[in-house]
Amino acid sequence: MTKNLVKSIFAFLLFTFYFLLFITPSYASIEIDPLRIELEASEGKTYSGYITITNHGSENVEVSLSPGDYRYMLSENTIYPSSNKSEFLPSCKNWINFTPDRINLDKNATQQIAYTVKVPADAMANEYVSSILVDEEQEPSLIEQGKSGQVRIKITPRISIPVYIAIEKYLEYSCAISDFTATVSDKEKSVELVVKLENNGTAHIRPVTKLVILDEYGTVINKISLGKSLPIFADFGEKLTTTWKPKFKGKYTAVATVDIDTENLIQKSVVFEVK
Amino acid sequence: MKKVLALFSYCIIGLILLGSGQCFAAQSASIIGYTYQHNFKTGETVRFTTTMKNTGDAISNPAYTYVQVVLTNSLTGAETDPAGATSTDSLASGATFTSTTNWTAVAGKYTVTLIVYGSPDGIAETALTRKYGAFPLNVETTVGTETLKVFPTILNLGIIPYGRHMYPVPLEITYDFYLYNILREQKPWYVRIYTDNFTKYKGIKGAVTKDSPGGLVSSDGKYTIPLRVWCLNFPPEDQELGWDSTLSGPPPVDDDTYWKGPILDSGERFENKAAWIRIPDYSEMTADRGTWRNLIGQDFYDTQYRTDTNQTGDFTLKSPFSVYFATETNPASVKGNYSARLIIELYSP
Repeated sequence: MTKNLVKSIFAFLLFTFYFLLFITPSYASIEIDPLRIELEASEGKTYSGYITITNHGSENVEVSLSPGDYRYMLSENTIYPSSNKSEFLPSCKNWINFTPDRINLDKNATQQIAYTVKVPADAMANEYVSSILVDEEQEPSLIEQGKSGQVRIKITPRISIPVYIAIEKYLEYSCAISDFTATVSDKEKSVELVVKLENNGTAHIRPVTKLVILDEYGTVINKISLGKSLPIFADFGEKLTTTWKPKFKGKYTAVATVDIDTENLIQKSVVFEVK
Repeated sequence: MKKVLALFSYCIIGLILLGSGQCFAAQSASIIGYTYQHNFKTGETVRFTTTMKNTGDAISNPAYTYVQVVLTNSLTGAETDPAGATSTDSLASGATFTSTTNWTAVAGKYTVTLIVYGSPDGIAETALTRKYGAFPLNVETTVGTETLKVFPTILNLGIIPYGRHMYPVPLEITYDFYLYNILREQKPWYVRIYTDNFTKYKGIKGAVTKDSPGGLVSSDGKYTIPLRVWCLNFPPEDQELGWDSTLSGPPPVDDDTYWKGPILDSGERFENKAAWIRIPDYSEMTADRGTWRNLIGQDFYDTQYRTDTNQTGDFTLKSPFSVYFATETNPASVKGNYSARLIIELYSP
């Protein structure tokens, strides 16, 4: 029994030793700026900018840039557009070019990579999206010929920069509170507040929503921040839910305020009674 | 006689003190609102504003009241009590007062406690009420240096053993991702894992169905071996299902409870509670976040970014964190050489 245990431990240590022997001891890290590109563009024009890449690692790295698909981040709170409208925005990944698209970066060095976005003259949609994929490339780990049973996993750290291009001609930022409800649960002694936002503009918005609860004398009882939403695309909506536990019975008014970074705030209120 | 006089004097003084004590107004208060922004750089000024309501008797000089901000470093437990809170010595019963405190930010992650102090006689203070800030305060020195590191960058798994096998050496992921917007709210972000094998995997010509390209792909592009992943964010939860991941590390792969999920009363497996989860291929992922394999992340809709018990946040792990891999082969697995391109992607929309 003890012999077997010693054998097992020895085998494990031997395996770990060989495993460590064969792994590539590199340690690299890159920093990207900006981490988001949002353009208001006109058809037929070309726009340019720079992506700054810094190598914070302990050795030189090879970095490649390529256009990719937009990474949608929709959730159970997302309200989709009506059935006759598309759920996804058209891609602009074919409009993006880099000079150069692959660089070798010394440790602690910084380099700028120029990008251009060529908006076609026939861009008909209100907004286009895509991503810029910044990959930290690794040396290829080639499989030896004539030898079976080899397994290699090449690991690529990738930072994805979302790209949003709104066509200026159609551009309008607008948001509405389509519904605001307060459901009182006598059993739970809580109130569920639900704010439904609707993007009725032409480009994505990132609304900041706050709730204020007032008692029947108009005194502020509570302030609840619902945070800043992920991008809500045109014709999409978002359902924001929170629960408030009142301390006392009475009539209350909840006021929802939405800020989309335009001149006007959007507000809606709901009155409810806690018995 | 002297002794009697002294005793009498003490009684009189005691009665005076007792009487004067009863004259002090009864103080009580409630906090009806507070504000502070959540993310700062070292050296910036953080402003705490707390509005309290006097729910006791009117306050008048020498009585006073103010709000003391207490910051507790969530890593060290050390307390900081910023000085200079504004106070009032005149507040009618039922009236409100807003106390402000400015603090020069020192790097750290803090929970916030707001304590209303009152003094009925202008000398002794008592805590009247307190409230805990819903959001912690984060002060960083490296704002803008968003980085993601992995070690190692190439895994050589050697010969894959028959059956289930966990590779004992983990992938270490180091991240420093700290973003905030103009409102000093943190931006949401995710680190997800997937393979990018779509161009490499061809499948078997003429096959009725095509397998997922996720996992390891044979050098001729025909076959795959699924690759599973586990990190501390995955099940089981603390003390759940008889396994404490924090103490014992990755759950055993040969136990179906962790590989397939625990058995439900219906006899079926609860797959959502499986600890070891298959790594998808990029081509399999959609806009539905359920198709993603997030390792860590931070979302606006969660209010538990950082708390005393969860020091790094709701779905984040302290950097660096370890990711373990496991494979499963069966008699139908095809011998050969296998490879994969594994992407660790950091994304903020």
